[in-house]
Parts: sequence; C-alpha cells; structure tokens
Amino acid sequence: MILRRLMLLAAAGAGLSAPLLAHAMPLHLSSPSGTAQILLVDDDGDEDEYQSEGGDDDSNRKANCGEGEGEDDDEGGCATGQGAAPQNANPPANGLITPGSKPQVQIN
Amino acid sequence: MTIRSFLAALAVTTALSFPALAHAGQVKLSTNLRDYGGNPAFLAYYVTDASGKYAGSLWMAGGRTRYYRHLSGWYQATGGNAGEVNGVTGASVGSGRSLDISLDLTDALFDAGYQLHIDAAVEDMRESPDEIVIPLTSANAGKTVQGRRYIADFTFSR
Repeated sequence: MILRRLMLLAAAGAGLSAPLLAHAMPLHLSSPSGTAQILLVDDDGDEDEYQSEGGDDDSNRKANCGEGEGEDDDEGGCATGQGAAPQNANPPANGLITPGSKPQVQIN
Repeated sequence: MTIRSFLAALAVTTALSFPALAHAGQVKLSTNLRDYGGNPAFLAYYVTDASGKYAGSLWMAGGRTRYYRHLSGWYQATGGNAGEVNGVTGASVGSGRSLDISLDLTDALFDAGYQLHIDAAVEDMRESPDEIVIPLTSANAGKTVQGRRYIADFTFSR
C-alpha cells in the first residue's frame, strides 16, 4: 500500500516537472544576423524612406514624430501621453524575453 | 530498499521542479529623461553578455528605422536589423518625460555577466551611445543610475 502511494507520488512529481521544465529557455547567443526576421517596424510609408541622411537634410527634421509636428513633439513621444502599443508581432525570439509575453509600456 | 528508491526518485523530481519554477519573471525598466528641450528621444535597450557580445534587444523607443543608425551602439551590434526589435518597439519619448517598460525576462540574464545598455539619440542633437550601461545583477536591482546626456536616471526592478 505504501509502495503504491509512493509510486503515485513519484508519478505526480514527474508529471509536474515535465510541463515546467518545458518552459526552460536556454539563452540564444547567436549573432544578430543569425535571426532571420526581416519584418520592418517602420510602416509609416514615408516616401523618403530611403533618402540619405547626410548633413542637415530635411529628413532629419522629421525624425521621431513625423512631418510638421514641430514643437508638439513634446506631447509624450509621438502621440498621446501613453506609450505606443507594441506591434502585433510577438517579441523577438532572442532567448531574453519569454515567448508569447507582451511588454507593458507607459510614457508619463 | 524499494521504498528508499522511490523516495529518492521523489526527491529528485521535486528538486528538478524548483529551478523550473523560477525561470522567468517580470522586470520593470524605468527611465526618466532630462528636460533637454529637444524633440523626443529614440532609446534602444539591449543586452550584451559577459564577453561584450550582443545578446538581444529588449525595447526600442522610436519606430522610424531610418534613424536607428544614430543609436550607434545598438546599430553597430545589430547591423541595424529592425527585426531585432520587431514586437518590442514603441513611441519615442519626449523631453522631461518618463518611460516605464515591464517585460517578462529570463532569470538567466541576472548575475551572469550580462549588461543592459541604453543608447539615446535626439534629432539635431548629439548621439549618446551607452548613455546607460548597468550590469544585470541582483545587487543593482532598484539602484538608480544617472545618465550622461538625455537620460536623467534609470532603474530596473524585479
């Protein structure tokens, strides 16, 4: 009887361990170029996307928050006082961030 | 003897469970910007390992990839690969404002020689690579670190 209980306990322990261990995340330390994601985060469709930034060209003046915003740039990043929501994509699989988790961001 | 074996097996499975339970946790990165009077700042948060090799990006404040070259430390480490920050990119941060980021990070990052870097850049102002560099140690959690140019101070907590 005792033996049977111990067998059940051992099985339960192993059963608990398996899913937990499945969450272990070895650090992926390959070089940046090793990741194959080529999704661009800049999807604002600016026509001067590939314009050179040499010197003091106009593209520099549009940095961060888009054309014509001028002094309104101080309104908390590029929009409201809140941080922009991350893209719909999941965080990169770099071994640092738990897969499937979503960063929470706030700008005050 | 058999009972002893099962007890040993039970002890092993239990011992294996505990490290697995502590594999990751929420980490909050809090950054306060100085009132530097310019346009919103681009900020790149990334990690290097004990040998100084780039390990990965945690956050990018600022979505326009063509300006990433001004985050020179991050750009050099990644080759400007925007895929490194896909899913972890948000708005740039205005002068005098604060940015709080909460991430679910692996515990293996801490007390293992990793360092968190923050590069900063502001339009028409000087670039500031490695504005913040802080070893990711338990001892540094909760400590406030002063920035050099655009960042007033930075703290991470677990």
